[in-house]
Amino acid sequence: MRMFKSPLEAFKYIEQQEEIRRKKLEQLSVYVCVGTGCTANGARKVYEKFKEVLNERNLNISLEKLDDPDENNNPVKKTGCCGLCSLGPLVKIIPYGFTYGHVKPNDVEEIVEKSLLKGKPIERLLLTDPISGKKVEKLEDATFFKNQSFYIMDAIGTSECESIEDYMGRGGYKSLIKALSEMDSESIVDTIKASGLRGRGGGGFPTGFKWEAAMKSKGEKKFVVCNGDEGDPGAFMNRTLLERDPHSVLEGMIIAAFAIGASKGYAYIRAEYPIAVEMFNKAINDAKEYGFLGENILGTGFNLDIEVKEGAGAFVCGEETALLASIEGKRGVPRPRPPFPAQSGLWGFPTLLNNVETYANVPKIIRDGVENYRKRGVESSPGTKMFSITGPLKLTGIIEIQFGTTLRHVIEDICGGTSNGLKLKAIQIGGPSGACLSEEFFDLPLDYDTLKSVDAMVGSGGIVAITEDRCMVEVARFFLDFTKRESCGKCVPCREGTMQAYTILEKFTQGKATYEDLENLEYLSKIIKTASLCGLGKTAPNPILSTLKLFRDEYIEHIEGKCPSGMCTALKKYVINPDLCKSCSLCARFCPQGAISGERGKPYVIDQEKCVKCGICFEKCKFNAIELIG
Amino acid sequence: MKIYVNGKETIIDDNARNVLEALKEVGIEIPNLCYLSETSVYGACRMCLVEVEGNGIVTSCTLKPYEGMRIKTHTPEIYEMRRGILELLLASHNRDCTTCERNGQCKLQKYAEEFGIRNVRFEKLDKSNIFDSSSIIIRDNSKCILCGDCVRACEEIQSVAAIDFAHRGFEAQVVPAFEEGLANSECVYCGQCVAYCPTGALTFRSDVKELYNAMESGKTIIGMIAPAVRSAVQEELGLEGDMVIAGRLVNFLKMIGFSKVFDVSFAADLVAYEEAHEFKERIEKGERLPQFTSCCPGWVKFMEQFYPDFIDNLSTVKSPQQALGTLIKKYYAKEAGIDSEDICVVSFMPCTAKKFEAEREELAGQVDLVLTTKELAQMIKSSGINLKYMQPEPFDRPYGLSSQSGLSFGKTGGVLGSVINVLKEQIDISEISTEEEEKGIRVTKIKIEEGKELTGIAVFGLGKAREVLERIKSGKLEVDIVEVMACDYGCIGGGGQPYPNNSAKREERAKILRDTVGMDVLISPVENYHMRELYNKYLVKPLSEESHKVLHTSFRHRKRVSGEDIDILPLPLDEEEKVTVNVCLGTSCYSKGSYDILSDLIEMANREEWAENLEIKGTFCLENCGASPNVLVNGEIISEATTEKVRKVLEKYVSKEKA
Repeated sequence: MRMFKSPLEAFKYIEQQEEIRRKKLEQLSVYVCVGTGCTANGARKVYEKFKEVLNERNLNISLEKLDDPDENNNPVKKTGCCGLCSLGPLVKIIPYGFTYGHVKPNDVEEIVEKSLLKGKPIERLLLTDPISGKKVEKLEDATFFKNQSFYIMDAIGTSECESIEDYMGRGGYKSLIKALSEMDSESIVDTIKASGLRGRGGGGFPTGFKWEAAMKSKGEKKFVVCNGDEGDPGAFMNRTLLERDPHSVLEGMIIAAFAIGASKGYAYIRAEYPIAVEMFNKAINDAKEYGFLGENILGTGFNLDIEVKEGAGAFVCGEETALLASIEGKRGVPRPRPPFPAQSGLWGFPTLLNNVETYANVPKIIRDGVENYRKRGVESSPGTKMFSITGPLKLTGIIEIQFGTTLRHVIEDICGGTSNGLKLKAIQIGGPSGACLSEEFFDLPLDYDTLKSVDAMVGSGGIVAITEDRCMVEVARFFLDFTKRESCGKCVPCREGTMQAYTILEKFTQGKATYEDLENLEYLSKIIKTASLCGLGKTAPNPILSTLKLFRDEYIEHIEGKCPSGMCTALKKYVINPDLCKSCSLCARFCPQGAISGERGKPYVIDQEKCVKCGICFEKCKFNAIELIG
Repeated sequence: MKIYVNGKETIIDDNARNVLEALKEVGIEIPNLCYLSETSVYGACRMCLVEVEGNGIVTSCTLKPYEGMRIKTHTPEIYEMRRGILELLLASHNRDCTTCERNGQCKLQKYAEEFGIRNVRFEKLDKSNIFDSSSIIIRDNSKCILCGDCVRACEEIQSVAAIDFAHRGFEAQVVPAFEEGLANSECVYCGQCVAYCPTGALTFRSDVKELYNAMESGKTIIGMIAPAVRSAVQEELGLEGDMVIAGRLVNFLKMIGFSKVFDVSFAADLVAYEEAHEFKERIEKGERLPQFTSCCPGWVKFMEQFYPDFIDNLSTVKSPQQALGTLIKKYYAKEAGIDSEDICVVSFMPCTAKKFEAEREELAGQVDLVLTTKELAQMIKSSGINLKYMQPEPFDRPYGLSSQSGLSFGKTGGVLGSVINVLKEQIDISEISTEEEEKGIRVTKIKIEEGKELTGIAVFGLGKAREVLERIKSGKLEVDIVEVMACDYGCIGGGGQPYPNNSAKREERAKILRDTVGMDVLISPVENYHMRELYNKYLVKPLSEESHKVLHTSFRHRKRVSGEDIDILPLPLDEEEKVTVNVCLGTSCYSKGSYDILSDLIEMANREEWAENLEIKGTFCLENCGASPNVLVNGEIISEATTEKVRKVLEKYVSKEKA
């Protein structure tokens, strides 16, 4: 590696890398996805196996490639997350483009034999398009792929997550060069403002205004901070991005630091994301070696140091003031704003704080220009957004779509609808701060303002599909269980209120709630929402409020002693149908609680006081005499 | 600045810190449970919500006023919010109000009353059951509302930070480090947390019952009253501004069975007199300067805890409480023909740390009971005796006479002023000028002969004291004598004073004390003829052998981390015959080579004759990690130690032992 002394030198090198990458993609190689999802399914073993097998058979593959010790020329490459986490480990064969899912080390020999050497796809490993139900040879041919708009997620399946050269090969750091050599603070900030980029962390605050405030703030020093403390249950967009393309985030941070005049940056990444931390640290080191980071960046005199701070697992540290307190080494607790971090942030100095995905948008905006950038998305929410999809859908994982796409499009045309054959009841969007939307909202365009208008939010981008077998009260209880545990405990409404709200919701799921509880729940939600100190508290009642609004019937039914979905076991009741009971006593013998009694010739009876609803009698009865009510 | 409050044009202070403070000055006290004007804004209780046009409902403690802003402070919605917050707090609050220390003086109780809360609609949820009575400060977390006032008072005002938040959400707690008891923390018992706690979560140990027990056992009860008590006890008794309360208190105590009541101010004169001579001696010898006053027990513990290097600089003169206790037990008992064992000395103090001081190993037995102003007020109220109708009676002689100096010990600057008054008799002082450098720090310049100048500083608040110490340490500040009072405004702001105990109240008390001082006819301690008599009769002269025995004490380095030392080379000898060396083996010291020093010492003790009386121990953390490795020789700390450095100190001790 070499340290670039000027933007021009770096630019020329990048052009070479682009050429190298173009050629590389024409040559025979294997890409193994090593994101967290695929790694958990054994992707790294598959990767090692490929290396081993190719080494053994080096006579069959062009020698010059295998003999080269440089990792970059190794025909097996680690690629970042493709978003299809449920199908991992994923393997892509270049230049044919065959994409295989659920690959095991045992498949490697066959892949090498057939696909690599003979150029033939292996039918059984190919991905199934959930919409057409047919196998697809190439990822790019799948409907779910075509129906997305990849922008931030660059070069799916062929981006080498550990290689800065590959990032340069995709035009990386050209935006930084442009910013450093052709732009100044004002013009960068103006560009970001004009792009209409909005914060991807949840609130959707216009990024450019934040930058402007940080730029105009006076301070002995300034900081840029990247918020990678993604803590929503079921959300992993930021993790994916940091793992698959850390340099895009880093480049965004460097441009931001240059624009506002910061000399120090922190990437606050959850410690639970070890791969992301590793990737980002590597990215920082590599960028330093090339001179994109550190002292006198590209010979322009601009200095910036960036380091990773690992979050210790508190959800509230995703809140900006708590995050800053945590970086300072204090207890991660929010403080009242103003002053906003842009005025007084880390150690009292102006601090610019943006989400991982927000920063990743920056190089694209600089590269493509405002007009091109705004071609994606809608007027008030330009660009694309990554979402993480969970729930009983045919395809789950990470997707990227343009703002303005409808939920229905996401669910049906990308994810292929439900996988359990049941009807979709609701979509929970925006994590624990988000709302549950019922079917009448599925055709609304997904963008910041539209969602806000129906009391929902884009949030960080978690989408949970909920089918009709799920209880909405239980869904609310689940999220409150999360927020009450993750509340920092500072302000009264959040600390005490979420606990009380949780207690009431638990009463509902246990069939002990009254109409007064319903009233109290609404009252509580209002207090927590209005009076809480930070975003965590202010949004904590959203799962309750939205389910109360759209699924109120379910709450009422719980009060009346029924859980319509049958999920709340406490509300279930096993009874013996006297007409069907043959008084064989089988159920009574198996009942662990001794709750069933009876005598020969008469139907048996379940003592509801003793019954723990384990369902063993239900399974054991040979005459279907035991029925589940509720 | 003109703003509109509830539709009315209102002129507020342009420099008001926030809307909450601004409106308080114009007669609108917005309910709040976590706001202290003395500390940073916390914004956690959410009670002080107001509605601002164009900005919705926001907390007024974090709201900067601006010209023309329109605020509503009491809308139905805000009322509902506040009520809800109160109910939420009450739902998980230990509501044993009738047996609570703060019964009738609790802010939460007050709001519950004002909002007419008669039932709490939420489920009763039990909070922590942490109850810590390990020290004189009692913590009952079942009554804690997590307003953080104590945490901020301890950290921001006092820089002690003995307590902080732990755990999250509903489980959040205020605890000392490692959830230990306060006795095992760096708490200095100043009681400022008690002073600012709005509920009964932080209180202090009541010793009233002990007093009645002592009375019942037939002991001779001798009382003494501190200056600051008589500036504040009035607040509890509906006698605000009463200047002769001391006399009424004497009358009251006599009525309930005290045989004598002396004045702590007498001992204050004595302490100042002794301390001034000590100061003069140090100046002449040029050693142990600057001299720090030591009459404040919170400050003394603070020094022992955080600045053990400065322990030698503390004046060794006892505090007035302990000095008077000693005089009573030693001389008065003899004169009155009572066995000192049969005397129970009871001191009435504004201070919680005084309870701790009386129990210190070095001082135990001199004062038997310390009761705070609050406890005294309780006794008076429970007796049904209305002090308004009590004639003032004089303090008993001989320890009942005091000068203005002694009386002013109750507030900041009092000790320093008294010492200067005594010095005036000893040396030529041509000019004295005092200037307030910042709130809490007053600098006095004393011009003496040949153009020389002495500098004295009076500090209040341990946070400010720490600042001053750091400046002295770094050489940025040259000073000869420093008076420190742990609590803001001095003893009048002590942790044992009545509620509310905020800056505004303390300023009122300071005024009462100033006025009371002005009534005294004697100005300097040197004029106190009873004190002179004491010297003639017993003490001979200041700093005499007798006076050292009676009036002086010692201090010690306090290790915060408990745990036994490890015997490495134990010696079966009497304590006097051996020299004990503690080598710190804590992480920092170990990594900087303390283990090598330990090995060298063992080698030395085994081979070299002079070192045969060395007892070597391993210890953990002397809390001086910044200057590791640390070795302790007979209690003397050697920082950045090397074997050579330790050897030199050891040789000194060994030769002393032999001699």
